[in-house]
Amino acid sequence: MDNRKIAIVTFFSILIIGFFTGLILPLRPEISDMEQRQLTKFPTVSAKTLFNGEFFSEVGLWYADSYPGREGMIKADNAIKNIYGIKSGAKMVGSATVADEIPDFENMETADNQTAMDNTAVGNGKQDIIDELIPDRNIETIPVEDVVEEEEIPEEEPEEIDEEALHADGKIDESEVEIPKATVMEEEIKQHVKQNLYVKDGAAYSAYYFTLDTANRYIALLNNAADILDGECTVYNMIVPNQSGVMLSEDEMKAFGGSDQAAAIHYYYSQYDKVKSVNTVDTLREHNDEYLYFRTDHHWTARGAYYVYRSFCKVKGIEPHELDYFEKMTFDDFLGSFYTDLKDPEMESNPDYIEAFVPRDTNDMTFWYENGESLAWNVVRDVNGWNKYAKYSCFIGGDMPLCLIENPVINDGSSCVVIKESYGNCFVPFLVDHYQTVYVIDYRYSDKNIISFIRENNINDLIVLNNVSVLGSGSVMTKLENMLK
Amino acid sequence: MVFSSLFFVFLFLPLQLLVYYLVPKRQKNTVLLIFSLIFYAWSGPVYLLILVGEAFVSYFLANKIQKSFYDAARFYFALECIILLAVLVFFKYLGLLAQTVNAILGLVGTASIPVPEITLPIGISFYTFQLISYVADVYDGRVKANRYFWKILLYASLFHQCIAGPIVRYETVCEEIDHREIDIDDVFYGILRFSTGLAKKAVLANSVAAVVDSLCGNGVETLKTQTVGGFWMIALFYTLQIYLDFSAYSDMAIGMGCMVGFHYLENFKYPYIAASVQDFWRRWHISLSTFFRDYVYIPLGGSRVNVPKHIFNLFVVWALTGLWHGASANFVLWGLYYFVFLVIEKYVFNNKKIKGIGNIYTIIVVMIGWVIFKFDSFEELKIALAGMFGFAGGGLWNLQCSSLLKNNIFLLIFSILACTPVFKLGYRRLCDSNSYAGEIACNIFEVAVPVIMIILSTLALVGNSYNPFLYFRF
Repeated sequence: MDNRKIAIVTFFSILIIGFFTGLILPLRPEISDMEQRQLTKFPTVSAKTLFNGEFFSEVGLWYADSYPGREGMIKADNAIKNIYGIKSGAKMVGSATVADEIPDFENMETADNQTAMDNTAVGNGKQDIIDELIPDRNIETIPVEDVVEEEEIPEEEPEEIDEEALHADGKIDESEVEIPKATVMEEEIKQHVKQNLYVKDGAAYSAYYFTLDTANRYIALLNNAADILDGECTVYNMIVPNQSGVMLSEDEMKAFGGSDQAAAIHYYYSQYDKVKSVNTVDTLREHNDEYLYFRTDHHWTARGAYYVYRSFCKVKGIEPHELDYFEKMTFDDFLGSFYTDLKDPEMESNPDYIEAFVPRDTNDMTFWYENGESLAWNVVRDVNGWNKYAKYSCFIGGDMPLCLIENPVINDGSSCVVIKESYGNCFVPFLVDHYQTVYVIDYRYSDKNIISFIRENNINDLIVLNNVSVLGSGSVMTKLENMLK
Repeated sequence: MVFSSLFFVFLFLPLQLLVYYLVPKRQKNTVLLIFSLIFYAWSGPVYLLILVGEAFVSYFLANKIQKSFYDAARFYFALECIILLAVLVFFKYLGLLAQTVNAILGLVGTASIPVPEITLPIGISFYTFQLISYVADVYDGRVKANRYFWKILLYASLFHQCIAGPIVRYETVCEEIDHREIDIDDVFYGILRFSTGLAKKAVLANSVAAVVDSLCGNGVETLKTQTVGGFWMIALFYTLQIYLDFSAYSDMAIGMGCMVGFHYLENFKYPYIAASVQDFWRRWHISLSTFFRDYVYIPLGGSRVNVPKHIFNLFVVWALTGLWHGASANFVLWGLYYFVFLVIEKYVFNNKKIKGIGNIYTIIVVMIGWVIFKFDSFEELKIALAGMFGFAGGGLWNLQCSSLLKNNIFLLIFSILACTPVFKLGYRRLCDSNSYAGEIACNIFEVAVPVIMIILSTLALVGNSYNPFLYFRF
């Protein structure tokens, strides 16, 4: 046969194989372990989407997104992309942006800040709970036995479940501020946390850009909460820097660009009135020869959280436990979100591991999904055997709207509530041995009014823990303002 | 639907080809028409009405022109132009028109004319021009009006070229609509062109586009921090992106045409190796420049008029060329930018082409041209142009630029080569050599290339949720 005929036959064979493969529906994957997401589903038809063509473009998306063998082909494609250039050494991914100048707070009047606070502090403090997180259930009255039996948890990763269930509806409150949806916040947070990455030796570092407007909103909302709760509850704040602000040398940070995280965090802290700030960046930098941040994920490690826990104890005036006081669990082979975004081969060949420190008094906890269902769980869950992209979920069940940890050994009525995004997850276990009750609220998935919640449950300490980049998100500020007033 | 999608490559195209090859000869056009209408409707079924409507108007008026003389024919031709251009203006330029009027009259707030938000029907710029060229050719007596509406509809809607060109002339395909034969060499050439086009788009264009996007980031804020080197990298990578992307669509169209026996004319002839701006425009998007030449420039008198009139003619053609690319002032600016260079080349240098220096001058003019083309916000455009000439917020060079350059250096080299005829010349030399080894190599090449291209493209398309389609605006 003539070679052109062979070429034609081979080419059409590939098309036909691809054609039939695409039609074998059972072969289509539904979720992507690597990307930690549900793949596009076949769209439902409606007259509207049929007319404007949305339905058809969704079909095209579904066809490509859940094509059989997708993950393997993506890996192959990444292998090809690795020959686009010289991959060793440092590289930058993403785009820079312009940061605001961090104000020179040492020479600044606090009056400005006072005004900002007055402007933002709308609404009244003694507001009823607007939206109950858990309909028809009041968590303090739920005996632990009432909690539904532990179920088979799919190997996939709890976050997957709650992302589906937890897309909180934006509701309009009395002050007519639209509360941002969880999905909107997630997107904004992702933008801020991963905007500009510096990748070196299989580790990624994200740049930080200071924004004055959101900084002042955060300062005002915390000062406001501390004023409202004055005498009832102590407000602690810890702003955790990114890995770039801790692990990179000064020179590397300069070359990389962005704002100085230490200066930014000090600015926030300098503006507090009754809020007690917990040192993070200086403490962490002192220990930056240790494994404080993951290389393949945007989170810090439990070891990083431990040093900030020590700072917290100092501010609170209690004695911290030494690291060897805790039982240590290790989960090998963790590839986090930087890997999922970059598919860097150096990361793949040298994955992270997770150290977790199990509290002594109890490792039991309960968390609630947004639909009100609860589950008995562990403060530190053994995630060996889980898929390697999901292992950060070993701490307090991942990002749940509400968690409750009751310490059977302590009976002094002490309690705290931690307001956090996922950076708080690995910090919470250290608190367990110091309080009778620890509540944890992930503000992204909860609509609770925290002030009312604190009053109802007679909580002593409000601990607000945020990653510094997240604080650049306007929708996060709106959400927090709404929950803390 | 776009060509560079898995849905097209593994569902639409094989299905279309299978049905096409299986049905008897007299039904082949019906198959093409049905598939083309489905293809078009996929992007929004309502817009199909516009396409069918315009095709009907053109079919009807062309037949009227055929039967009339002088003023009547002129009237019908004018009617055709008015109707089709009015539809185009309505969908494409109404927003720009409102903005312009507001700007000129200084209208603001409630006093201003509201700027309508109209979705552009996909491919409207291409099929409007195809249909106008058909009726114009009937008017000029170059071709005969077709008595069958569905054939004109097929001509306008044929999915190979309907949404991203080339702007195929009726005279190119009128014979082949009724009589076309395919042989092995045609089909082979078709798959070679299609698969290389697909790879050009899915592998190269999308990858260089990712570099451009990294450098441009989120618009103004990022540009303010960009470096001089970064702006030149934007210009370089965008220059590659736009050619690799656009010419890839033409390659795929020509390839798919060949698979079923249509022979469309080349739309690009390695424009970046041009030795003058005039030369560049004879190689870039040829179907568009010949359209403007034949239907605007020459009717205005072309170059056979006095100098001011000639300059005026060029001005009109290049303002329109710019405007055709998008309803935004920067496109007009981009067209007029070329007008300036063409006038200088003609009246100062008498269209002399100097190899070497001429090539360097041309590619620099073209690269700066693409920067004007890229930024449709004047604020961004100012930052970018100032940045290229030393006034960049981020200094000369930074880590981002060096790492992007290093990480994509082989991609860059390969993409530059893909803009030149080296691969084609290499293939020719291989196959024309009379040695036995050369023949073997040529045979292996012909079997391997389409297969490798389609596999690479598939991997890239699966891995790439990122698949921008630059020509939606046109």
